[in-house]
Amino acid sequence: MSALIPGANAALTAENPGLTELLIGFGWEIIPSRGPQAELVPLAILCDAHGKSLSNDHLVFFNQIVSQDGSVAFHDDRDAEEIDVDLARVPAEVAKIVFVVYVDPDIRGVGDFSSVRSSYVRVATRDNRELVRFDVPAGEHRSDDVLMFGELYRHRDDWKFRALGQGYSTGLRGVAADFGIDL
Amino acid sequence: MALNTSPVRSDVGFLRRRVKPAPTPEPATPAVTEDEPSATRPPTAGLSLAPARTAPRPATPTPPSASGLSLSPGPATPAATAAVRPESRPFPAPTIDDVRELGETDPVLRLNARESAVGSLIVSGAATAVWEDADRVTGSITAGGETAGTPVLTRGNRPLLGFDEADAIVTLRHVRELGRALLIPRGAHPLGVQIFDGSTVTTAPGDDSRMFVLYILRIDNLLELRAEPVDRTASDATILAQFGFTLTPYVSTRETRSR
Repeated sequence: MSALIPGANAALTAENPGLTELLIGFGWEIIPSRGPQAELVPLAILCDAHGKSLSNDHLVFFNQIVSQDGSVAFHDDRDAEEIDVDLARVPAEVAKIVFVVYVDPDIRGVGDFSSVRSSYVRVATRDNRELVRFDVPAGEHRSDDVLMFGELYRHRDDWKFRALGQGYSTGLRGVAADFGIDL
Repeated sequence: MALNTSPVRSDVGFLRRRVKPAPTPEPATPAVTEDEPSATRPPTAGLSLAPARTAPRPATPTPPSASGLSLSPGPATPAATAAVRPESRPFPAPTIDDVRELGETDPVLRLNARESAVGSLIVSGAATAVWEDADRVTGSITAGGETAGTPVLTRGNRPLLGFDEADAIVTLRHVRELGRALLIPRGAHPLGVQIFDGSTVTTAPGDDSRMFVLYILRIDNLLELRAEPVDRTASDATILAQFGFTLTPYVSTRETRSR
């Protein structure tokens, strides 16, 4: 297992021949509150070579749990949310899969990461052996409402994972505009 | 064998609309080929799958089937689910962009998976909100704060359906916990609905004898909004009974005192 810093990448398939199924796990802690709490939602966006989502159906999250091609699937066991990727099934036109975590924009408040601590993304094999982990730096993203945790991307015939840790202050509307999706 | 000469039952809609199962397509062939690690590759995080394997985790997660039925012989993998997805979709319905007013002319619209799950569904003009969650726990609340039945609180400390000032709010982050809901207006004003992207729709105002209530039904991952006419003079209890809502008795549970 290795820990990544923002911007760093790890070769997944090049270093692990035969690796085709990945588990992308997300975790965080929310400072407890008696009132409404921030609710984080992982979202996978299957992008083309221009960084745009192939379509609105190429999003995977808790209410759209499988991509149209079956390559990316959401899984929620309540304690930990994860997105599974079958690299062998990812269509050739998908150049990268971006993993975003947003704070649900409920109108009753707490729409940013100010109460979120210890957030991370980890990439593991199907049998849950951790390959890489990225602990998202806290502090600088407290006023953001969406964070790009990382991305899986093609590199020649291989797949790599890059840690991102970039925030949006424009919420899901900013994400929708950047990736060309309707939200 | 006797020939069945009875006329076609055009009154039985579900038989005419039945979708025949389509053959499951072949799974995609792997696009990634294995090759030997190259010594010229740049140094990376140093990963290896060679060591001993831990206990295998369960097979690829099985997403819930939209209709609860599957004709696939094997376990439902994501790919299999994706393959049956077109057949399991509900019948076409207008979108929120197609309808300005829910009423006699356009009684129903359906939100897509994203509209059904992001942020809040805000209903203005409601006097009473009734919910039934996926476990059939049922309750109601009025705009004045009077509650009946059993409340449903989500993990984010927000009610699944409740009032925020004068507006009724459905917590869409937990849309999968919702079974159905009913919003009842009072007075001359119709109901207004707004979703995250700013799209809105209203219900028809009705007339002296009838008003339109808003019936929200979750079909798998999609919310369907319906305007249903009811007698304007009917009490909330009568309307709830008409829609088959039975409020769940609320049992308050408390921690046992330590001695």
